[in-house]
Amino acid sequence: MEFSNAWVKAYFTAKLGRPDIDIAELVRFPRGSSRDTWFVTVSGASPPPQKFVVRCDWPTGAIDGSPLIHEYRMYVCLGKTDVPAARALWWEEDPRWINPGQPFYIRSHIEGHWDVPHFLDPDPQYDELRIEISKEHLRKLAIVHNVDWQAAGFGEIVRGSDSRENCAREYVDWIKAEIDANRTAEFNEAYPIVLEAVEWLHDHAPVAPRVCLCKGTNGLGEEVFQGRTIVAMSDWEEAHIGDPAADFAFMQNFVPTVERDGQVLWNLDMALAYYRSVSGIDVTAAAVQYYFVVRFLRLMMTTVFAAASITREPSPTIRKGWVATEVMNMAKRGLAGAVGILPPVKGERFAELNQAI
Amino acid sequence: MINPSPAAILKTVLASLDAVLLPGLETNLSKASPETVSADKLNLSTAITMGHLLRHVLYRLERENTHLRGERALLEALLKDLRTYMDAHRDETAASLIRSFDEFFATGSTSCGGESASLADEVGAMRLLLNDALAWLQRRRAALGKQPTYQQLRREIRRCIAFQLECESELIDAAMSGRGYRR
Repeated sequence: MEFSNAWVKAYFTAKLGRPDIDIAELVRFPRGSSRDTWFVTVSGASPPPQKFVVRCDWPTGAIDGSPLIHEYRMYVCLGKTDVPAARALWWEEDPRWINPGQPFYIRSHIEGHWDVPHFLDPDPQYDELRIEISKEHLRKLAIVHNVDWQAAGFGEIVRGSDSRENCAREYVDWIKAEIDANRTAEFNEAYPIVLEAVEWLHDHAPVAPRVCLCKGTNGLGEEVFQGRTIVAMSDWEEAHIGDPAADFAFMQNFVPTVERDGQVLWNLDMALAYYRSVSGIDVTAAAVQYYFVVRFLRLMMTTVFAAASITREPSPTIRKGWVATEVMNMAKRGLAGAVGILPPVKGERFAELNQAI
Repeated sequence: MINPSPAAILKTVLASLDAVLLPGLETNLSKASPETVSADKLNLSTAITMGHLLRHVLYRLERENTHLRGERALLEALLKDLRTYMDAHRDETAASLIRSFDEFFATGSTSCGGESASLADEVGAMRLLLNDALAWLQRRRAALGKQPTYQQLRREIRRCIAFQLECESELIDAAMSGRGYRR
């Protein structure tokens, strides 16, 4: 949905009940690919300006097929917890304001930035920064994993298991079912690598230290910082109830290995020990390795959905084309490397997928 | 061959993308105002991704048939062995699968011509049979998994998966790896 200045002004004038407002800024967020995101700054006779985030699906839907209302309800539930996050303000489905079938929602804008200056700079002077950011993220993750997810209502909107013994297998089986659900007469594809991986994952499933709210996607680019403090945790599309080890398997740079002059200053084991001290939860490195493999299976789920949707949509986005090709290929190679069918893919090759302008 | 071929035409599109469109969009971005930078980034990102996918299609046109012929040869032998094994250890599911296998062997031809759509369809059908046979083997693992023949078949399936993935990866890496932004 294209939000023009004139449209946005009319909308927020009506919604806020303030005839004096003007749109100081309207920016489309260029990063990421899952949904369309716009930042709106509303100014008026009375300062300060208010900032809002508008979230809606691409005309062909989210890349991973998850409903937008699900994301909105996530933020509503998060508002009942101590997790730093934007507030869900309202859901819009009034046909006077939306394109048919394209609702959107408004959430508060949290001032900050996804990037941490110099975090990726390999200069040794930034080692301390990398470790502190890693710890800050682990502190916030500890809050997420200690949420009373049942009381906050997450059980009604995210899938999950309440069994420490079975949550891994149930999660894997759910992902497999989601992959299979894409198979139609027009998109009659099957993936033997998925069968091999599911068997391996069943054979090696760990028992969870507890069953809790898991964020799903974590790391650089997924959270909002002010300085060294996370002021909002963002991107909850893959949130689920399960083993907290799953979150450590998607950390995008936030559990770096920092080694200097032959001394290890920070690594996964140290991060897990720190996390244990702030959360009270004992996640093992072996469980994290297991969920790395689950991550690749989850990536298959997203990419197979994209590939299937390309087949049926008249005007699929170029983004889906890329997801259905390179990203799916990398998911398959990740699985093949994990279960021993191919050599593991080097981290640098995976890192290419995150190269952004 | 009918010239210009689809691959040759695609090369003209790629050449113009690289020589004309991308430099223009990069220039726009370098001069972007705060009001236009977001749109300029999206335009450039879209064009770069178009280049990745156009190159991928070009390489598929040029190389995929060779890959598929190799995969077909592997699958032909393996599917026959799988059929033999399922026949020797029949259960209800195996009987249904064997019928599917026999139908394919009767109608899909090893002398299928080199026209890419037909070859891709044939290999696609063979992959589905392989997938179903693997699922059957996995369900029977508890009962049959210790048999050397069972284990050999599982190794052959993994070898086939590896071959297919290596071929696919070649077409992906050549088109995209080291070729610039993805977002």
